[in-house]
Amino acid sequence: MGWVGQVGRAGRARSAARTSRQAPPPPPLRLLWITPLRALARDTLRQLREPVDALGLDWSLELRTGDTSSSRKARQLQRLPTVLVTTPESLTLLLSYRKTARQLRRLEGVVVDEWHELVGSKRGVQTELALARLRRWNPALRTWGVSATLGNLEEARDVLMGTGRQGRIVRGPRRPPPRIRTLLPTDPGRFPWAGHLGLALLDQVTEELDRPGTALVFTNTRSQAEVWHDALLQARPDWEGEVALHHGSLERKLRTEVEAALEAGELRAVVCTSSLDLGVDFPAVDRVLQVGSPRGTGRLLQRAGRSGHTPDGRSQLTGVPTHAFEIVEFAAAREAASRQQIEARPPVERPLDVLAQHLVTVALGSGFRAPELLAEVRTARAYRDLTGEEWGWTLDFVTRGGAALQAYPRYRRVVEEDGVFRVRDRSLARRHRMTVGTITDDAQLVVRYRKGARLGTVEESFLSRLRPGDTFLFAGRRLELLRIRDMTAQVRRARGRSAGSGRGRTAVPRWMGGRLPLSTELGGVVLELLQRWGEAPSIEAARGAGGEGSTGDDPDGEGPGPQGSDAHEQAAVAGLLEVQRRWSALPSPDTLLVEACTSREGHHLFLYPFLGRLVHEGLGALLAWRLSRAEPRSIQYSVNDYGLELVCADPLALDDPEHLLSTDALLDDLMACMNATELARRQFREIARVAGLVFPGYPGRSKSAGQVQVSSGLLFDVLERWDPANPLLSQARREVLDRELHVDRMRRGLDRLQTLPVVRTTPERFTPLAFPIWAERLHARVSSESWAQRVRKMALRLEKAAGDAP
Amino acid sequence: MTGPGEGPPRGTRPATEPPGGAGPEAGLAFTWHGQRLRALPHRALWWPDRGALVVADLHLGKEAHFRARGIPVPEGPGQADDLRVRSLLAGLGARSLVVLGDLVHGAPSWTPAVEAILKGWMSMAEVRVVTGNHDLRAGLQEAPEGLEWLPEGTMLGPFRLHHHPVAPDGGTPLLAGHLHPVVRLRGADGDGVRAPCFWIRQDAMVLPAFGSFTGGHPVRPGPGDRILVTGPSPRDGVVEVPTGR
Repeated sequence: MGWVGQVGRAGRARSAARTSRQAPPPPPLRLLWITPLRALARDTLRQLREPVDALGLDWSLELRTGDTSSSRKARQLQRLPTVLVTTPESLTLLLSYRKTARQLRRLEGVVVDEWHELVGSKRGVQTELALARLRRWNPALRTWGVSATLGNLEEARDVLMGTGRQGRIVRGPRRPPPRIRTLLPTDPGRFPWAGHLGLALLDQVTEELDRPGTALVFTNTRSQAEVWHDALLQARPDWEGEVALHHGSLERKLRTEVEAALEAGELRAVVCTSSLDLGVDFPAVDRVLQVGSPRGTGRLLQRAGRSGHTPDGRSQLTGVPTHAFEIVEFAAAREAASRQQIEARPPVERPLDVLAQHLVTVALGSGFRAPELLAEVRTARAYRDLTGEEWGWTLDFVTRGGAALQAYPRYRRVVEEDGVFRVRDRSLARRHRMTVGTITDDAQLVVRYRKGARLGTVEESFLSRLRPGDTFLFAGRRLELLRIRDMTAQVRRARGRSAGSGRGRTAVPRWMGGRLPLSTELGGVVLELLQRWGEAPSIEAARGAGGEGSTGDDPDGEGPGPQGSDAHEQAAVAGLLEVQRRWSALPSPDTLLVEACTSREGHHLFLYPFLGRLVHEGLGALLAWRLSRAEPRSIQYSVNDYGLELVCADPLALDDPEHLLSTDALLDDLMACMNATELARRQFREIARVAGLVFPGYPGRSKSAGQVQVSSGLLFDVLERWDPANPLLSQARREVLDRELHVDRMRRGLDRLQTLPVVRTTPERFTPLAFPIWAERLHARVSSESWAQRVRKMALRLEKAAGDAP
Repeated sequence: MTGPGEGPPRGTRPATEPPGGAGPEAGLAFTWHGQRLRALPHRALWWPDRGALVVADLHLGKEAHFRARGIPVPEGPGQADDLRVRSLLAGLGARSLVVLGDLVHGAPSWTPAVEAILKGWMSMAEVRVVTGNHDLRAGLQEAPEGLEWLPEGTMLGPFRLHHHPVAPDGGTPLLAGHLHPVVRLRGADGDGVRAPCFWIRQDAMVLPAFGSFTGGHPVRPGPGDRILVTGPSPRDGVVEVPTGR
């Protein structure tokens, strides 16, 4: 991140020299600043304005994001400011207006901020396509990217530059890694082995926050943020007004208020999610706390970087583990950070849904000729290997609806006139502009008070389970649901807000959205630490060094040196590791630990590859399937970030690990056992939305869209049956393999596991490592039963409101 | 656009085509208000004593409706539904086809293709349709000749025929559609299924949507209700699930 400043300065100096010839009104558009987060855009604008004002430039600087008022947007379409700060989605939208497209041709420079946030996603691809367009208009366009440290920084640079362009990496002065310390339970013996809300350390967090200064308390999910915010205020009612909440589902106004208060130094703490992850630098923030697993080293560093820097230039982060093994994760993250072992974010390759959306966008804007646009699209690195066939299909898809519709004359989206492709239908144009982007949300309901103020949005699936009169926790308030109408949930404050008013339970919304898995890199370091800490002498030694609270500067720790030692963390989990070792064995990077035990449920087999939850899910299904194929039986599996469990009525053994862990026929086996169709069906949601097959409807007009609204699942079924060659279907399957199952990681993992000697133990009970997996209870089943047999065994899922049928 | 009966629909998986027609033995037989009825896995109801095949919510032409609005949906579902109706009529030897509303989806409704499909059915059986909300929106004037439109509440034997399920009127049982009922089922191990179903209450029966290109709405059966779920393919049959009486 350090090189931001330098590049920024260079760019400004150059441009400043040119503006010496003054002329009102402000010069036309010269610089685009693209930022992934709206919250960041405001901050960026402010930071850019300072030097521009100081230099007395006559430049205009403006924002254009989803939050910008429509009157200002309309004005901008007539004339863009000299510097425009915008998001990838808003930039794409600009490309869809003819007039603006003309103004964009004068552009001289683009800065893509926080590129690491975009590069691994479809939003990154969308940015690539927009850049390709801008570069074709002005081949001399200069591009800067600003990125945090990444495992694949060179690749990230190449993606930004596009094919056939050279880029250079400028590194700023390296900042020392942040100080990472871990809050530890005073009685480690009673610290839970599993769980994820983790209020066990609430008292210590309260103590931390009682110190002077301002803190950001990061959580991993929005629900967890709501719960922690509430718990802090229950513990310290006198902090009302000093502890705020910030997450992506809150109304923009509420978020802005919190950001302003934070900046003004008025707050003691903000409990937040990734909504405050990115570069907004709040000088007022003195401390950063991370509740729950760090998940990945890069992510933890990013969060640590939000804190104001101490005189020696180091930021600080305090880890708040929610269960015992997360203590090891924090120590591992510290070690990985000191080794500069940061995760890579591989770019997305050739998504045809994004391309289809782009074709409609360009057709709407300046219009295009096919060969020219193909050449342009191929300069975007994601499409460098786009085949003529894939291009042909996509073009056909947006003009005639794809091969299956050839014969249907009424279909039109993009039309060809004299070799130029354009969009002629105004309602289609409007609909397309509403849906530009690659971020898919579930149906969201607006939460608002009866008197009108909006609080934010909650997923429909959550609210539909509540009945009027039920209370739920949202936006840091206990709310009573009054009624749901027209995509709006009307609420009022529940009575007895403070201290646990025993009026039944208060529900906490759970937002969908992937729980990030533990990164493979971090998992590897956790394994190393477990091995190192598990060596008997050091367990004893560590226990001696045990203490409460911080892991300050124990000098004799041989670990990460200047990072501060991990002796306290080691001591806190020593007892736990001892139990693990006594009952079974400790896992290590050089062995594959397999635990076999029995319970009332049957025979269990536990494995600990430490490859992250998603990889384990695929691995669980694969092993269950291969084992049941060898000998017909029904096997269930369950996973967490550390390992996986197989359960069967009959004894299980990894007798033939070479075969079971083989990568031969890996894809075929996975497709066969993972209910790959169902996964692909789910993945299709995003693809259908991006490609313009389904759309969420117009804001505030939920009904008008109804007649062409269809679920992506139904569409998937129809296409699978009647247009099975549709490339969007194969894209869905590919995305499932890459993004849901992380097949590459699985393959590398299997290759390694195969070479490891198996350490087989037979503990009498679930070990500390096994218990959390068993407790996760997300058992999936590999079975050969027929549909009817399965259904007969199922019970109706009785909703809360059963008996309340219409 | 191809007409009906011109070869099999595209695609490889025959999911809802009746395997070799529907013999009278397919599905699940039960007696309701003195009438012998059979819930067919094809999401239709067979009433042998009347020789009537009863279906609801076909939404013919829905694909065309979408395509005309720039959303590419292939031609298959309508053709498959046509084939399914014809083989059921033939296989069961039905004398009449009763549609509980929403025969078509919306403009363009009475396309030549839809007309051809309906003509084919009328050549095999008498076709009677309760006017559904979608049919009304599509306009009955342009509908092909020979369809018999029934107002809501028309009696057939002991049953009132409806599109919208309405409140019981004190004992006359009714057959209805409109809801596209589905239920969610869950196994002990978290395995889950969402399936179209027949929802049978004391005085009302709601049929699953027949159309292949239709969604569903989860229903919440009350105590005493019967739920008969249909499988993803007719081969899967019809299964009654307990509703926690």
